[in-house]
Amino acid sequence: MHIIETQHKRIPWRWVILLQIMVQVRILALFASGSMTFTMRKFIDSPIIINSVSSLDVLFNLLIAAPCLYYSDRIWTRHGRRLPFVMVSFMVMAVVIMLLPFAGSAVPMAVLVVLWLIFWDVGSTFDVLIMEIIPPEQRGRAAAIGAWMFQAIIILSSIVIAGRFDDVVKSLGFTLPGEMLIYWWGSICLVFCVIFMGLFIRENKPTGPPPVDHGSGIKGAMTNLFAEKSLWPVYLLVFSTVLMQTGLGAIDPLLMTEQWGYSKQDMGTNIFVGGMINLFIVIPLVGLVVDKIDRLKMFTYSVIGTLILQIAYYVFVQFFLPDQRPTIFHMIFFGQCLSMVGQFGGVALQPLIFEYIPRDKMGTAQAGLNFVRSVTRLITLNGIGLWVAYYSKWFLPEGKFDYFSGYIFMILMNIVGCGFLFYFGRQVKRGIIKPLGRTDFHPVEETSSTSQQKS
Amino acid sequence: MKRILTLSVFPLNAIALFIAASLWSGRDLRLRFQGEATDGRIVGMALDREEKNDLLIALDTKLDLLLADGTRIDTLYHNYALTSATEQAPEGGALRTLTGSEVDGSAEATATSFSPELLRVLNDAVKGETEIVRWALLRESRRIEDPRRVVRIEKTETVHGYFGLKKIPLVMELRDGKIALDESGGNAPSPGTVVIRGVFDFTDPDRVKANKGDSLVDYEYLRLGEPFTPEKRNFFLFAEPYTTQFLPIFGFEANGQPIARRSHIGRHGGPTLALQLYGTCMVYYDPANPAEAILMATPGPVNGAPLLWFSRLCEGIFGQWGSGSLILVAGLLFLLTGLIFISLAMWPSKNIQLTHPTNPTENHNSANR
Repeated sequence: MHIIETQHKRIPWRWVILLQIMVQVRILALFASGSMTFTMRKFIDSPIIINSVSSLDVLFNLLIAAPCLYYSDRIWTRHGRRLPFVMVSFMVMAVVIMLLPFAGSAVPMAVLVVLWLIFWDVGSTFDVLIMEIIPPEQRGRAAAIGAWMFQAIIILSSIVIAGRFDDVVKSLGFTLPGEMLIYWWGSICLVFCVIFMGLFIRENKPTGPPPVDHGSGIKGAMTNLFAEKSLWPVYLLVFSTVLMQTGLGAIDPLLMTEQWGYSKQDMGTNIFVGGMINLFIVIPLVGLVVDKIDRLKMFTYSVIGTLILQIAYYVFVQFFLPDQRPTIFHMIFFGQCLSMVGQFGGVALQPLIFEYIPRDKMGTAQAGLNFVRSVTRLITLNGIGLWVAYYSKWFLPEGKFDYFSGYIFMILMNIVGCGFLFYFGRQVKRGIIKPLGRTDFHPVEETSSTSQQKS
Repeated sequence: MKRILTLSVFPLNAIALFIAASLWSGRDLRLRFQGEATDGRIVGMALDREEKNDLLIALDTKLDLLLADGTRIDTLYHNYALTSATEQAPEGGALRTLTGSEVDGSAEATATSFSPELLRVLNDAVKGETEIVRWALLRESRRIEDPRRVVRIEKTETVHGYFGLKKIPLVMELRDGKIALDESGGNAPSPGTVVIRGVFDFTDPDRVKANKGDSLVDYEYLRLGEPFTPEKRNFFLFAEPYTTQFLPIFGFEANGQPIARRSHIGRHGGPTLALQLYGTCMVYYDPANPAEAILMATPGPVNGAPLLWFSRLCEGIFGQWGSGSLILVAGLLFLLTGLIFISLAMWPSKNIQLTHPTNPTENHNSANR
């Protein structure tokens, strides 16, 4: 049987391998789209606009991905319920990314980038489709196979693809710019996925009834998310953590290439070496320590550690390095330290959040968390663009940008986030915020023993 | 029949991609593995614009350094190789001619030797763009305890070449190691010069403050004797817009004859990291037709910076083979996937169970597909 289908209790391992190949090929296309920052930079100077366009991704996540996911649960067509979204999305994206190198000015380029972002979110049913094919018992090993393949594509992307953007190769009387090579390669990857899904994947109609249609529109959904007061502390916790995770966004590659004068190949080397250290040292180390420390403590250490490291990196570059320009070694060193501390925080955060979510409100909470995360990220990404633009306008000669000044914004956001976290901690200590996920939870054993006592 | 057609889609795509890869990189592969290998050198740079192309054939660089104690150091370079250097003591004092080993730091350290910091400034300034010279001066400004720190750098680049050419030929003559264009052709190019002067000065804090910390206080670009405003206030190789393509010209000796050829690989907006002007490279050419040649970048010595060396190595390899290898990788992905699907069709797995077998016919159909 060479057609891959959904709704199976057990599937052949060759299906899993094939699906993981397709998942990674899609990620390769995503990596290729990472060069869009440089394409935008060709026509747009302002970091505000570059980060704003990039942050539309977060907006579309709310406006496009969420409804697509919602409706894909509730419809059925002769081609299935997830596939139509994914097929349309991938076909449009393949065309968009193929046309991107031909954009001769800012407007067509921005239109193509926005179309890419919209249709990426239309295709958000892809992950659900894959999960519907791979049954729960086989997902663990599937994830392991995927993780292994992911490392291979990290190597391919960082070493081979990342540095090709500016290349020019002349052959067969044709000039192939690196930008075109990267985007067309991304397009081939998407065509691969379209052929794969169009010819070899089939959805079986699920037997159970579709989820209840709330039918109250976006306004109703939003009201529902925020009507539940017991979830407000959780939203505050997530809001503060997203503030603390503020990154430079799309201007990060510009800091390395434009401000510090490294090539895109150097950038690839940074990602490659950092990725290898992460894989062989940081992740195993975090794995060793993770169960030996209390999660809340671990999260606190991570928050403080991140703040200290960000300040240390800024001070080191700005005041200790004589030319205010770190070497690749410095970048990898600080990057790995931050990554290690960040991983501790990441491991601790999820269980910590769920301690404050009542069990019967997990669905609403998940939707609300996504909303809060997205909106906060939208604000911070645009904030950092504005910060860099105005900081540069005030302190630098015209036409020059100090992307590294974004670190000050990041540090400020981290401090604000820490403030909210501190407030949260105090409210917990005073008993105003309760860990409802823990206190309202009664395990089956407990329930049965209580009923036995009653009887 | 439909089943065979479906199963053949991936392998057919793979074959198409393999053919594309071999067509795209076939010439390079043939020369790399069947051609004659010889040492080469990047002897010039073609700046490929749509209409007006420039061809750099030689480069003179003059560096005038002013130290905090008033000492002046003047150096002259031709094609990045030092030709003369002098040091004048403060307040019009004695003028001393410096040896090459003193300026490049290879001489044994004496009382008059240049400090490592000063040598680094010279090295950075001679090849570097304006940003690198700015960093060098910024670095020096923080060494306030050293009276022999650099406080002012004046860099003048004189570029010799052919400017505004309609087309840059693929193969050129090499006379005394210098590119020469055939002036008898319809193109009738004549050599000219571009002079760029940049002054980086930290001696006047008020001026620097007024300039928002930018040490580049004076900049001049003369193209064929006329003032010109480039895209970026930078030196010749770094002043171009992104659309300009930089294609190295490599020189080598084939059958005892020197020859120069434009490379088929290059970079947008600036010179490549791996193929540096006046750097060495490997050349593979067809002895029967020496104009058929490719160059391969050599990453050069590690020089205490292994990560930068690794970047140069990767840029050299994948700048040359990246496009072909990506097409090949795509082909391999299609082939591998196609083969797994064929294996599934030929040897179906028994490891399959439907979660909710609602319709026995559907299950039966699924198993037989």
